[in-house]
Amino acid sequence: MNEKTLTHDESLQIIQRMILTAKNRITENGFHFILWGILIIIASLAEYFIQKSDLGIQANLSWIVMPLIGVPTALVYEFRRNRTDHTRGFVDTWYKYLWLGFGITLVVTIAISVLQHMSPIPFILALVGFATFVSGTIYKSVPLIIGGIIFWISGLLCLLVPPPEQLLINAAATLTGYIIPGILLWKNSKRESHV
Amino acid sequence: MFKPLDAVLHSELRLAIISLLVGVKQADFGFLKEKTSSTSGNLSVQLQKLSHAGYIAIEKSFKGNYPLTTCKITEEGMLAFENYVKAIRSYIETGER
Repeated sequence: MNEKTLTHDESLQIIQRMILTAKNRITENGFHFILWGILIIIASLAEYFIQKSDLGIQANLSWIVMPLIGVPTALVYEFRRNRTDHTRGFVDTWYKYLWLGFGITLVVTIAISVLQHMSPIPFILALVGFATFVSGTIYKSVPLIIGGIIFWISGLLCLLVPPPEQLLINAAATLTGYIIPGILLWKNSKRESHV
Repeated sequence: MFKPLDAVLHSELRLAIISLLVGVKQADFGFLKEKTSSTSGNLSVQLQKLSHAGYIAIEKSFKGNYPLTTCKITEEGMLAFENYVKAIRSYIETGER
């Protein structure tokens, strides 16, 4: 861009173009959806097979191991990412608070359902559906919006099957609601970074 | 009566910088350079002009061994931008009549 006398229309065009550029800045690259998606599927299937095989291992062990792997990996990834990208959009802040609020609600929901001797999976799926759907609308990602709807439907489907089979629904919902949109977002972000 | 246009903002690159900063909380030098397709030298000069006018706040730090410049729009800058947009609109609307 050079220094030149601007016409009024040119001024307006610059403003519109630049505001749109900042607004459409996509920062979600799908990493966390892929990471947590893989961990949730492994944990769901592990608990299912432990329950079915009667190995004598504590069945919910996989859910204790999952955050021990996921949380440090996610934090290290974000730390490294923040070191290279110092531009922050307003949307990025809201997005962080959305998932922080989701995480806190998730812990509270699991605690309530366990204390009430209820399976937490339908509640978790409904909650994940909410956060995924809103994320999809924020970043205008149709796969994430569809993923959110799949989580909601899966939450309702859980009411039709016993708790062990709910784990299989959870794994299938995570594959379609997290992994597939995550991979599409990852591919999209790589393509954009090479333009 | 036409509102006078703010001379600080009535420049292609400075207007582009301010318009970008309106949409983000803060932006680094690399982001502004890429989105405005400007040279480092020209961008530095225009950032200084905006900073001297009080329209943006520049923070200089280090990323490893490399200098890092991050910018954010100030309240004064936001007000100036809003007035500039109003003035431009009034010019265009009058022209269309």
